[in-house]
Amino acid sequence: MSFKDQFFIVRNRLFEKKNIILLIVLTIIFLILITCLTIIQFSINNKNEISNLADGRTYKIVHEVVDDDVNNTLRDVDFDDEQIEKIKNLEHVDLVVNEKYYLESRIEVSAFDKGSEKGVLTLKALLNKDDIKIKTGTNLENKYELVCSDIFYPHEFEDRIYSDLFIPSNEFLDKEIKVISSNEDLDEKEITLKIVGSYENKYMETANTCYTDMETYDQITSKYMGWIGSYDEYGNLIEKEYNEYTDYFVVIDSKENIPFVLEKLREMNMEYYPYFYTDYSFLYSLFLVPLFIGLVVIILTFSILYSFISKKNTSRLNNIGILKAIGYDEKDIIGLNFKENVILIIASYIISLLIYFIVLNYLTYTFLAEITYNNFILNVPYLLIIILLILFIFIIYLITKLSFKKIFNYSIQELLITK
Amino acid sequence: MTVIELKGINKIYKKGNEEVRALEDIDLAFEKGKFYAIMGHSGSGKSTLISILGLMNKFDSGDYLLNEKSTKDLKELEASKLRMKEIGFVFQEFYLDEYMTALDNVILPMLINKEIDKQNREKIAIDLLKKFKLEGRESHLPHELSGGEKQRVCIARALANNPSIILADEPTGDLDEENEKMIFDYLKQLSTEGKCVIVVSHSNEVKNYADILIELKSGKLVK
Ligand SMILES: Nc1ncnc2c1ncn2[C@@H]1O[C@H](COP(=O)(O)OP(=O)(O)OP(=O)(O)O)[C@@H](O)[C@H]1O
Ligand SMILES: [Mg+2]
Repeated sequence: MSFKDQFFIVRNRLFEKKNIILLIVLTIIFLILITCLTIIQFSINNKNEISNLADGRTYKIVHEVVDDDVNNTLRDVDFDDEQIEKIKNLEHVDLVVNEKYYLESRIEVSAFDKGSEKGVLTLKALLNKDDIKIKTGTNLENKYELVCSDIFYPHEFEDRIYSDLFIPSNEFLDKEIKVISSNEDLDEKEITLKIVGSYENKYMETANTCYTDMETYDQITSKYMGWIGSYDEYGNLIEKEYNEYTDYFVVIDSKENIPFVLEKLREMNMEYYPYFYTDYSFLYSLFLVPLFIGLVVIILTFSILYSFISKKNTSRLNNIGILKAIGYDEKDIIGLNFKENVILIIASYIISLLIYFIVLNYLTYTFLAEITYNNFILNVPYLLIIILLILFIFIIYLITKLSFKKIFNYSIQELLITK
Repeated sequence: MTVIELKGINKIYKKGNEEVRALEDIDLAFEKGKFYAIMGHSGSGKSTLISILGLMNKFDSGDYLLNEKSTKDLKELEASKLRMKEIGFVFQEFYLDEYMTALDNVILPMLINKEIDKQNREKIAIDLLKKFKLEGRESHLPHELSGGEKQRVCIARALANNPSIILADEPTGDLDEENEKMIFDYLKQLSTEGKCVIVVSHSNEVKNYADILIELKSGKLVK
């Protein structure tokens, strides 16, 4: 049967009460799912902005500070090693370390080269042994040891990830790897490190991160943040001026003691500001909550739609009997009902998109703009929304087919006498 | 010309432990151009017989030949095709699609008939409605028609695909005498036009029209 012929029959039933209710239910379901998709898309797009959070206990003390009073110029703040020692001895201060140890360093490891993919690790200094949870092997005990992620991917992964490049922890445990140090003071640049353990890690972002102790970290990495060159008239480099790592991080033992420590720092004329770090678990939950809700709604949808459509069919047994009596076969009848439901799905899809865009517009340009003082752009996840429609058409096909299974066990005579 | 042959048809309805022998050893033959009346008391198996004739119900044993072909092992698709092409139904309760106009109800069976051109459907339907004195009623919905009119729409629908067999189960059960006569007249006319018309009826009136009378008693033929 052509779609036109099917529509000839279906159009008369579209405005049945049961269909109107189904239309409303579907619109609500679509609105929930599209909202979930928007949040998922949002959390992916705004990964970096969102995930920069303060842990609340870490402050950075700096040598240079932007002076608001004098035209945003930089003002120098002097402090020396003696003062750093003094901060270390303050009550309620857990840790004072040079900013260097808060950074990470990219090191190439030829032992992990595989095909055209270079072996690359992100090296970090382990400031506190409790910062990681050991999964296999041991924590750091000696110099030149490493503890790596338990999901271990010792390569870069900007654009793509190959599943066969992951290494299980039993294969890298006790492995010795050679790295080339960037430390300017060392004569012998080649250093051998041993992987002694793996730590628990859930995030791909840190799948190539390994920890070592602060001393080893010092030995492997450069002493300088970078350099500024001076050049002669032909553009040749004459001299490099190196920038040292000068700022420090102060970790306070608990939140209650923050005012106390900050007061002390002020007394010492230190400039400080709270340190932001990347909290992947927050991002994870922002992603997971709508994903979870979405999945629950889809499963609920399946049963809601099934019971709705079964009820609709049951109320039409007589009509199904008529169609069969005049020669419609089971495929024709399923086809008619499928088309009817697809029309309802597309109609509710369009209605929910209209509502969605109106609300989104309001949120973007009025509500969110007011509370954030700038244009807060929520991206529309077009691709996901189209996939959602296709998924629903597939679901409705399955449900329509399933719901007729019982009905076709009846003889036409039995179908006809039901009213 | 024989279109239908029933050979020792048995039909038993089973529900739990109970069994109802609705038809027992039915041997019958039906020819084109004749008007058959099936009569009998309530519960004698008339509706069961006609629904088996219409491929709307399965039988338990025996064989049913339609145009000399056995219908015993027909697939659902083949049975539907035969219903569409060979058989037209008329029911006591009309069974019109209540959301469709009279015209659309008559067009409905033609939508699945590939042998009828799309452009001709409407014309055929209008002609059929005209044949049964329903001009001007094309755009009416079933609830806007009287019982007699509904039954005539039903006959028009049964003829849409020009079948050779017309089956009617108590077509006049809900109609008054005047309308009953009119319906029987039309059905008689169809048999003279060459169709095999089989009518189940309680009414004695049908005897005046029938070429052949078939009587059932407790699922058996009365000779
Ligand atoms: N679907 C069914 N399930 C069980 N028994 C049935 C079914 N349909 C009919 N019967 C039984 O089969 C027998 C014949 O029924 P049928 O409807 O053929 O009789 P009928 O002659 O058409 O009666 P009426 O004149 O009242 O319409 C009856 O005893 C009836 O109760
Ligand atoms: Mg009956």
